[in-house]
Amino acid sequence: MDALASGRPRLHRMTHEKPDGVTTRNTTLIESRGLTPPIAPGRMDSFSLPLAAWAAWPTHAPGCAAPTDSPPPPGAVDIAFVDPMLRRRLGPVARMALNVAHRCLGERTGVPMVFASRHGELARTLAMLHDLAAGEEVSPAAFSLSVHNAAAGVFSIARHDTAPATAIAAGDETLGMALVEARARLSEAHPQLLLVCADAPAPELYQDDITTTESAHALALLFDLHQSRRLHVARHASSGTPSNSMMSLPLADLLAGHRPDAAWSGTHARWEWTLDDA
Amino acid sequence: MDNLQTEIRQLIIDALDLEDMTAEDIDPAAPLFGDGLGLDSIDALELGVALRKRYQVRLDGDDPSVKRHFHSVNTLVELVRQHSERTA
Repeated sequence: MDALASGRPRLHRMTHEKPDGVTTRNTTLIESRGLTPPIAPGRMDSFSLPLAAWAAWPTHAPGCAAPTDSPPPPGAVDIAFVDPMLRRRLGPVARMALNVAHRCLGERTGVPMVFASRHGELARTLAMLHDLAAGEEVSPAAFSLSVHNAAAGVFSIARHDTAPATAIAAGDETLGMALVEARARLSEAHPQLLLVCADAPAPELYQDDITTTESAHALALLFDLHQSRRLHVARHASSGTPSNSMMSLPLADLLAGHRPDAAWSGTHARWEWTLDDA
Repeated sequence: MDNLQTEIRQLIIDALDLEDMTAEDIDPAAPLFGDGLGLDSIDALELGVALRKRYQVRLDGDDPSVKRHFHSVNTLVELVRQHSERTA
């Protein structure tokens, strides 16, 4: 019986014939109906990605941001490259995402993008739900920017760049799954890829469902198969004690040189990163 | 009807997040869309919702006269005035 029809997630063994620059060992990509990859406890999956550049917000020691940071006010994040008429409607998460994406990508064009955010513009969505519940009309502008790929779309419009973009969310492991997505999409035909991960704390109403301390931050990583510097990524399925930060922060600390390696534990897995210049 | 003109200019600024502008910055005779103020299609929808909430003006997107009403602040003032006279 077809695995999907039977309601079970399908497991795909990733091919080991891969383009130069990407190494894989024992890597499994999961195509699941749910957000939780059903990997057996104790199992480890790992791969590496060729890192060309990165950028973070806040710009100074992103990992050290106060954990209760509220979203930055509109003027605090420089996105002057976006036309003011396009910029005026953007929320804090999109502004942080566009800031790090633009700084990381520079003048490069045609680079595919993975936009990742656990919550996206959840505050905007919640405001629309309140309007609906009150029998009010929903703001068309708010709706247009509440969809998960809105930041990627605005980035494309602002830079006149038609490179393909995907937008993903995967609970507390959103950054990790964006790294898996990046690994899956890098190829000889598309040797560069920009990963952007941005989030702000979920609105108060949702706090009962959030187990980590959330902060406003964004991280951009540019991968390029022609780079020799490697970001090694490992995921261990486990049910250990979850970390008390969002997943991007320890990785940002590693990139900033604040530590030789980094790890983060979520509800279902532990992730580890190291960097080398091999 | 100078008050209504100022009111509608302020409505446009508030509804469309034109945060850096004041009512005096909007030329009441200039086109709102395209070359003038530079509003886009999402602004047109947003403005339609704002006019409905504030003045109970109901607009049909298929009605060709809508484009004429949305030309400038002055044509919107005329639309709202006609509507209030009809419903008075």
